[in-house]
Amino acid sequence: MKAMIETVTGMTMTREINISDTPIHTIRAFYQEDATAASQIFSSERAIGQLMDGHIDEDRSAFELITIEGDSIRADWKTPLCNQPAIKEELARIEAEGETPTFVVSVSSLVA
Amino acid sequence: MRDYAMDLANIAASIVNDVMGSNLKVKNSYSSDGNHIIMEFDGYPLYKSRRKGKAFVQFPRSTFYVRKKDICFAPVQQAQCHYYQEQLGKQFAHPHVYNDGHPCWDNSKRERATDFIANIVETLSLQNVTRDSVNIGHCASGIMGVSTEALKNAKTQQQAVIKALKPKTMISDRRKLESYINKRWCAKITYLTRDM
Repeated sequence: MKAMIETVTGMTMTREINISDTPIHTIRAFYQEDATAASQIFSSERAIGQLMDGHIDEDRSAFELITIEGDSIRADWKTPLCNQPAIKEELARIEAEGETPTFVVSVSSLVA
Repeated sequence: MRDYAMDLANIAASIVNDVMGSNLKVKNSYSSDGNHIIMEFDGYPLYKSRRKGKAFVQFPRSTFYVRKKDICFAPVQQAQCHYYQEQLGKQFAHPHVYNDGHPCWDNSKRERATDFIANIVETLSLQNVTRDSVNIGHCASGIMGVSTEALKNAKTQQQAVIKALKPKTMISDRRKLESYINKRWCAKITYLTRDM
């Protein structure tokens, strides 16, 4: 499905995403296909390296779906979107409204 | 050092863009003297024209700032804010915008970030032009005529904006619009402060 990936400071990028993928897989695929655009969602080079190795600071990173009312639904990074009921239901609502879903994505690095 | 004034202005602009529709392309920059931030919206349907062009909102660079890791907003006075179209200095076509581009606000200033962002949406979409606003509040300029004529012309322009940009339907409901903008603003500044 078509979705908007939005950075913390509001830059948006349109992407084709597969809801059977996990957020971590979606962002890794994004970086592999378009490193320049995708790098804007990472806080540092270190965060990129860690995510590509499958690691993420889940507390300080965000993969959140914006609801029709403007609330944020936080997705679990390691579960396919289609297996996250709150996300799946909201995606159906957004689709019924004829709008494109927006995910705000921010990836921070793990620090010792 | 990170430029938080611009980061926060980018967040505000992105929320306006989100509500107004992706047909509008937004870009922020500093004024030539560095004292103001200019939000530039390209793809805006120009009044009495079949062309699309640019609309600008100019406000002090000190409007959004960070102090001791807190996100702050300095209330914007109407005289400090300017709405232009096509080029800087050219008045935005709106009954409540003066000839020099500054808006006529009922309480003369915008106290909160959410209120300021909502006002940008309402001004670009002309939702803040009503029978009462033109009859009781009066028009700041005659660019769209006065009284009933201003209302009629503003509604025509409003329809042109809606047709061209396809904004979210909540723009006509101030309460819903403000609630949406507030949630988005709060979420985004939370993300931003995580990495401070």
